[in-house]
Amino acid sequence: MATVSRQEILLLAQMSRMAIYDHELDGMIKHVEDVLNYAHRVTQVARDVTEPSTRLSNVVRADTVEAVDAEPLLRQAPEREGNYFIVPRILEQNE
Amino acid sequence: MSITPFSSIKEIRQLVDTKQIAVHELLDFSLKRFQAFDRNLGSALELFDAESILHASQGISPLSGIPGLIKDNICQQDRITACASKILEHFRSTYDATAIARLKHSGALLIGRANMDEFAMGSSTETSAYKKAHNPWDTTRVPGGSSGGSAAAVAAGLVPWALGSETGGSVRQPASLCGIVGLKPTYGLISRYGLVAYASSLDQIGVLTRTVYDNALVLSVIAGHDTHDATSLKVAAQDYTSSLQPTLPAGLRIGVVHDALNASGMDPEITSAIEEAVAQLQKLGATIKQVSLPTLEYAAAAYFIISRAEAASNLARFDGVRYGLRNTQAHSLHEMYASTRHDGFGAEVKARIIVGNYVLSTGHASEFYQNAKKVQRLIRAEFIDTFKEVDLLVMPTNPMPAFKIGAYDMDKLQIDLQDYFTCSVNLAGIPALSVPCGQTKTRLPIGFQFIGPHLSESLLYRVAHAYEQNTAWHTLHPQGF
Repeated sequence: MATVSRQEILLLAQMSRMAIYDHELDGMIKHVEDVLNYAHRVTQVARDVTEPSTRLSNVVRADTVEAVDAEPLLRQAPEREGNYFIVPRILEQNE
Repeated sequence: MSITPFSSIKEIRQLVDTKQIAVHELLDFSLKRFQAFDRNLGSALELFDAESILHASQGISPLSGIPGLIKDNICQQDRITACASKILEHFRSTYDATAIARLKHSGALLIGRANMDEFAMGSSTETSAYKKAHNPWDTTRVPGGSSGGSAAAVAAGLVPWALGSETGGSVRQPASLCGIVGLKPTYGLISRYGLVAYASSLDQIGVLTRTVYDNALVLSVIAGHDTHDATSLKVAAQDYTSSLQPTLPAGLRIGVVHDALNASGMDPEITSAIEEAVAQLQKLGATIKQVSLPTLEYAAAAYFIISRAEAASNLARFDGVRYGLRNTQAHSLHEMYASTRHDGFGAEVKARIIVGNYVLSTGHASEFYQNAKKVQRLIRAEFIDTFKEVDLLVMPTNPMPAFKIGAYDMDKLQIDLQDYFTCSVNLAGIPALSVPCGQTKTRLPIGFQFIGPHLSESLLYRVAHAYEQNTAWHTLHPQGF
């Protein structure tokens, strides 16, 4: 049975760049545990298969520049200046 | 003949070609039906204005002038593409998905955005951040998901076709719950360019219609190689309607997956409807073999892991920096990311991202993700082996008919398990077609699916069409529409 600690969920949330607040933690833990407990059964049958499953090949195109007007894309930005996206401060004051 | 709510594309084409109805009248007819009925169905998140709809599509083809609905995760240029999420509430696509471009070129009318589960994560359209969708056969029940809006609109006769998308069953499952036809094509047959990614190795656009012929017609317009999608197969466009006949191909061998039919939790009405359908196929000349797919039992588990792992990666792009929702009160970049994604994503999406990153993380990856990939290879190998003995497989699409809205609020796993019979197909990358095969005592649709080997869409359509033409399920429609 998978049990996921609050700490682990908070660490995963941090890695996912997604806030989870205290009142949401228990619900999230239950949800995650339910899925993991069901999904865990893959360990019962997983084994290597000799038959190759897919034949992968690289798909490439010629290395030529196709000019695209960036303006429709940039116009979507919550905050921009010219070709830059403006975001809140990245580093702390004293770094 | 005059236009009716449930006219097929084939019938509508006849009406238009013989000038019994003009294209703008057809469009008007459809838009009026949404006005009359969609308040109770919630199938469309947005309907566009008639002028821009007509202006966007130019071309002559069997599909020209025929209105259809597009799932909200497929990019239409200058239209909002929100994936039924708040995080993309005001986002406008700057380009057309390849499937959309091809539809516009065919003259088909794209009339709006279909409701869906948020980011295609769900099997009931209950996680849409905007509104729930309802099953036209019983509006207290779900239409299925994640392409629930697409299915509801087609089933209720608001449009004769719609595009949906599949990652684990999200076209076939709602098609089955709504009594219509739903195709999940071979992975790579329809370009993913412009389909918002959920799990890139599994995602495919799918087609929903009321008849098999109509389905083949729409696929013919959008399928085929696309240089914009490196995973798109080098397959030329073709006319999938040309192989349709009212009879089965001689010597057809159909495998009935008996461990699916007798799985615990199967609704007995569904089992008996499918057994009836199999008997019908036998009467039409098919040789029926009982087959067993032992790894089927582990498909959902493998699918949960793989799809969530890929989703965690794909949804990382929604960060408030370049487009979409941004929390402008945040004091730091990290706070902006964290609060934007917290506020912009619904609970189901957040849970899937967490699970996805969990199964990929050090200490868990080999147990979960690597093993899931191994199980995926086993599933593929099992299908390949089985197709040496039979030409097609038959399996249930759902374990139960449409459930009540809110039935599984406290047990999300049960909703996830709606994909139980569909997701093995996505994991194997093979095509499957769900068609109606009955109704429960309370007039809820029952569907079943034909599953074929890689690129066997023509065969799937041929067999399903023969079955359909020799039964009457496709003539049944929900009342009150």
